[in-house]
Amino acid sequence: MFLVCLVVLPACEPEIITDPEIDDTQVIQGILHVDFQIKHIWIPTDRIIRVGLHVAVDAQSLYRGIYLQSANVTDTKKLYVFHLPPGTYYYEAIIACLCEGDSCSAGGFPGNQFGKKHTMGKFEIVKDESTLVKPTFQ
Amino acid sequence: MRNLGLIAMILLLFGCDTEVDLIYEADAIPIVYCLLDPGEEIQTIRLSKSFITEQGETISDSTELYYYQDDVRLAIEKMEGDKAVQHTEFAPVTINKESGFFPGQYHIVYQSRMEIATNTVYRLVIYLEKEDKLIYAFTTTPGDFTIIDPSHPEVRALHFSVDHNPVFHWTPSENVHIYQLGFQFNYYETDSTGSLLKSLLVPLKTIVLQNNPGWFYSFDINSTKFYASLGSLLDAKPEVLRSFQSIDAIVIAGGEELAVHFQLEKEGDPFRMLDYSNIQNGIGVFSGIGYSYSRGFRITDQSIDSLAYGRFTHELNFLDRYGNRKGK
Repeated sequence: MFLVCLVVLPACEPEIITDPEIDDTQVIQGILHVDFQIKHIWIPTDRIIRVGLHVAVDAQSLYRGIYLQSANVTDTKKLYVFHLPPGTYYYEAIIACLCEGDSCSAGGFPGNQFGKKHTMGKFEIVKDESTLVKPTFQ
Repeated sequence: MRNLGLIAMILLLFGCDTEVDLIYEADAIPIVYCLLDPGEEIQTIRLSKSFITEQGETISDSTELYYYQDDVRLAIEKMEGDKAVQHTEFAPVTINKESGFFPGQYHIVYQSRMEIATNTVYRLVIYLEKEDKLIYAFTTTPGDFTIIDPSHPEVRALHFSVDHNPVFHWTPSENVHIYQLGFQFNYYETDSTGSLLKSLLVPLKTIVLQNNPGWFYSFDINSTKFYASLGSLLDAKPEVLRSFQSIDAIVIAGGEELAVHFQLEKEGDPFRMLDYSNIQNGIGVFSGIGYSYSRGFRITDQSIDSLAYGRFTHELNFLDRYGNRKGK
């Protein structure tokens, strides 16, 4: 009877949903450094902004926007850091053009102002080591 | 001889009375609070007076809190050097009380339509006719400043997670000694009667800064604190569903007087005899305040899910990235 109680009692507890994003016990085992430079031939670099930097477990998740982690990108920072468990991951970096008129499309961005360019790549995270990636845009 | 003894006894009895009346009737002290805001068309001044009560008594009569309005003349003057170049009179207005403990049934503030310039000296002048008392104070309003980051809400989304705190960058402002960083959180509340767009200010970080070098200031906002603050500021209502609409980044700048007042209140020095005040012949703070916004950000899908099911906010009934609510 006692054993039955032991089994039944924990099962009756309501499900507590914890947030994996803010879980303090998360194990950090490797580091990804992203050197997010902005270079462009046809458009001044001060008219191009970083828009997004995401990490996903596979390419399909990246495509569907199911990211593992994202960075708060800014115009004042080039290097971004992610702490991840060992494994294979994919990153996506996005830039956008700020020029008005048709300068963005003339410079190779799809659409006009706020037209975006995406790039992606695969990388490995090894325990206690750091990995560097440098996104390059076509 | 017997009579003499009786008289001596009576005198001794009265002489042994050591009771001291601690509450002494004196003139009330004017209490003045005013923050000039260049972003507002209408400026507001709070004027009340000190009061004293016996233990356990409460104030119910508002005449004990406020000066008789006909006896008060209140103005703010724009200064150029020693000269007042603009004089604006303020009139009393009765406003609704906010929640919290306030003695009295209502609030009286003084308001006037007045354009406030940045980087300018202003003088507050109050004349209490009955007491023949002049109260005055000076302040210099904050200069202009701009949020550099977060920026471009058209294409960027904010991400709130433990390793990726949003970073605030903003240009320094003249005459400003204190900044507060936060977010205006905009959301829909839906119940059986319909949907309503609501807004909540979430102040997160207060920084006292003086003459820091560099062309911009940079501070990050702790993502966990953001969720925790939201969880404590917003009431859980099981009968409503909520959905995220947008978020605005805000930097609030305050003048030197506000910074000193904040620091002394924060330190809470038990040996401090008096509250900080920059009001001559009164108590209170006359200072300037300014706001800079970067409006209309989305947050990432992970942040929306954290809002819906995270440990600090899961009781607030926010919808997840798919517009669903588990268990509903």
